[in-house]
Amino acid sequence: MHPRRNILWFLFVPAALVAIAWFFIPAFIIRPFSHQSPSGLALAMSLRQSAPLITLVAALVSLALAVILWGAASKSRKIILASVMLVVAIAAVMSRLNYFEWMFHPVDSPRFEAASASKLDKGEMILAIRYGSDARAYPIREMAYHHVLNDVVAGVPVAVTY
Amino acid sequence: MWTRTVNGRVLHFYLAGINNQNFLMRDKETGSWWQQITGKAIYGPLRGASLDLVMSDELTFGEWKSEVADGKVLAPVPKYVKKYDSNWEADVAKLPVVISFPGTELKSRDVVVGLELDGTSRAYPWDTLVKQSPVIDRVHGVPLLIAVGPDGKSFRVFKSRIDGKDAEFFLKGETEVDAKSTALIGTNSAATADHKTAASANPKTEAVSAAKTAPSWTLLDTATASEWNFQGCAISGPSQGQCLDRVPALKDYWFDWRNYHPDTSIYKR
Repeated sequence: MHPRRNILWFLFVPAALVAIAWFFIPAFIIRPFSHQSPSGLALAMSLRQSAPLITLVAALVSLALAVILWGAASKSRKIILASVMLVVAIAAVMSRLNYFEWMFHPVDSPRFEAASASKLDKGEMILAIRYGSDARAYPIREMAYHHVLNDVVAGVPVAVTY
Repeated sequence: MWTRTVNGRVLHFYLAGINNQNFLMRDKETGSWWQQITGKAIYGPLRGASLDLVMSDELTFGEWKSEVADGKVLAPVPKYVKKYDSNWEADVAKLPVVISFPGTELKSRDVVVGLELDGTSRAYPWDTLVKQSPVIDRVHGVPLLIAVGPDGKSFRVFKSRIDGKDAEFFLKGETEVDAKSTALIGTNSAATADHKTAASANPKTEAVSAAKTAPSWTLLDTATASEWNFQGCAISGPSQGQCLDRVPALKDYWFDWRNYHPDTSIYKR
C-alpha cells in the first residue's frame, strides 16, 4: 500500500470511531432497565452534550477521507469504507434526534376539558395542582406515558412530571 | 412537579433519558440535564440550579372532582390514547429494578410516601398508611398528620399544628360505627369504600357541604375538638374556617426514594 494512503487510513479510522463513539457510548449507558453509575452517567451526558457538533465534524472528516481513499481501494476495502460510513452517518443523524421521544411522545399543546366532561373513572389516579381558582388534574395514566408536560397554570409556568 | 422559571427565564423541558429508572429531562433553552425526582440540574450550563417544587396532590379523580368547583382535566391526546396503559400501576410494579438496597426492611417496589423537612427525610410504607390513617408523627421537630383519603387511595400530609399548638387527629366515628364494619370487613380502607359509594352518588355536592350534612370521612382534633375534612380544613367547631399547612410529599417506590434520600428513616409503629 502507498504510504500516503496508509496515513489517510490511519486518520480515517479514528475520525470514524469518534463519530460512532459519541453517539453509541451515551446511548448504551443511558438505556432503560440498566444500572447507571454516577461516572458512567456523567460521561454519557458530556458526550451527548457535545455530540451534535463532534459527530458532524468527525463525519465530514471521515467522509472526505473516504472519498479520497475510494478510488484506489480494493473491493473489500470499499465494502469496509461504505459500511463504516453508514454507521458514521447513523451516529451523526441520531445525535441530533431525541429517540426517547419516539418511545414516549411529548404533548406539544396540551388540551383541557371540564371536569364534568371528562370520561375518567372516579377511581382513576390524577396529579392535581391548584393556583387560586385554577385547578388542574393530570391523569397519571397519561403522564406515565408522556412523562413531562410543560403547562402554564394561572400564569405560572410549571413542569408536570411523572 | 416543578415551576420552570430559572433566573427569570422560562424553560421548556423534554424527556432526555433515564438514570436508574428515574427520568432525565433537558431544557430546550440551555440543553442542561435535570433529574426528575430532585428538580436539580446535574449537567450543562445550569448545573447546580434547582427548580422550585409545586405543591401538588395525588388523588383519585372522584376525590378531586368533589373538591374543586370548575377544574380542568388534561384531555387525552387522540394520537397516543392507545399508548396509555390503564393498568399502569400494576405494570410499572412489574418492571425490573436496577438498584436495590439489601438490608433495608422494604422491598424495592414497595410503595412509600416520602417527605423531607430541612434535610431530614422519612418514608411511610403505603400499606401501613392505609391501615393506620390518620398517622400522627414528628419529623425534624415538626408535628405531622398523614391522611389517606375517604377513597383509600388519595393522600395528603399536613402540619398537625392549630394556632401554633400541636394537635393530634383521629377519624370521627372510628370507635363507633366504623369499628363494627372494620371488624366485619377487615380493613379501614374496605370499610370506607361504603362511604365513598354513598358520597359519590351525589357528585355535585361540594366537599364542605357534604361533610356538614353527611360527615362520611371527618377528622377530629384533640386540641379544639373541631371537625376537619380531607383538604385539611376545619368544617365545624372552634377552628372552623382554618386550614392546616400542607407538607409536600411524594408517592414513590422504595428504591427510588432511598436512592435520593440515603439517610431516610422508615416510619414504624
